[in-house]
Amino acid sequence: MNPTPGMNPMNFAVVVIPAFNESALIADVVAQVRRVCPCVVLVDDGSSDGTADIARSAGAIVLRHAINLGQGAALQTGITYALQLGAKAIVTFDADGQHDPDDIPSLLAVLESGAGAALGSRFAGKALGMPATRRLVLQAARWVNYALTGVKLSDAHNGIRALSRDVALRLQLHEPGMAHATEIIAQLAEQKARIVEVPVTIRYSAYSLAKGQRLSNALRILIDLMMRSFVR
Amino acid sequence: MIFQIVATIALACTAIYAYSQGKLAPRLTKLTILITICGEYLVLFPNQTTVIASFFGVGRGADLMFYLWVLLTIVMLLNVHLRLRGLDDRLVQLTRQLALYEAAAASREPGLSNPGAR
Repeated sequence: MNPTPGMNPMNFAVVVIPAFNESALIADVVAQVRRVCPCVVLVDDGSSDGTADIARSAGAIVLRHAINLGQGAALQTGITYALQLGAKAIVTFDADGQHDPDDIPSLLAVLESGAGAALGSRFAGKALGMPATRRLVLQAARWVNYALTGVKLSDAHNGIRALSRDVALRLQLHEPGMAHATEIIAQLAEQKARIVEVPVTIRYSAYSLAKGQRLSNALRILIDLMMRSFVR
Repeated sequence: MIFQIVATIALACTAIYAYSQGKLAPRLTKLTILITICGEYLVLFPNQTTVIASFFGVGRGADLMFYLWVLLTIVMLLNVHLRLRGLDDRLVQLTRQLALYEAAAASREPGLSNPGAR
């Protein structure tokens, strides 16, 4: 399959967007991302509001989960498909419109300089309209990530990141829910991949805050991570 | 004697079930089997329960048995929980393969360049 005619399929980046009931903004998000990076794979995680059709009309390649599994599972599906397409680099991007597509080139530039993973950091960049409670939770999450993975980062649970093909090939996300954000860091550390943080801009809106993670989720993510380490 | 037979069968069933789940949660399986063996010892030698109970600071042997049973129940509940997680994992794999299969099938169909289209 050649999603962008005239482009060498072995030499392109694929943007993977996991989405669940994002019909309100998804057309804009896909269109804006495609202006920067034409190949967008949207994984519709069992939406019931027509997200898939809207994204397809906006030019995304759409994969559908028959049932809702969670963002981590959707990301892994998108990454696997992007690798099948021959992607050299894979960018993960949230569907709720809080990321800036103009940050994608700087993430890819870091990969070109030899890094295995480029992780967006809102604290190194800008976090516009971020509520104080969110800042507090994210700072706590940074320390949890550090304790669990040994990797000290300036941000946590930021959905915009870029992975080289080699790193993505070895990535196997088992956490279907939001705990995948910590699992990715842990697996990058296991791979001894070179991780570089890249300043990015996050724009919080009433929509993204309503769709985003709540305080109560933080505890659930922690329990997920602990249970997972118990099983494995 | 009747109770001993019933309890022995019940404990044996528990141990066999735990053994059959060995692949999913090996540590839990070993713990469960160990507890059932201890339970069987106390069923066969009920007088020992009072001796052991007083050693552990529990007044009566019957109380010790009750506590052991509660412990065993908790372990089994955990086992069920872990089994559910295992099922979740398999559901994720199945759904992912279905999505990827549809995508591959769609890309092979002439005139249908977008996987997932229905």
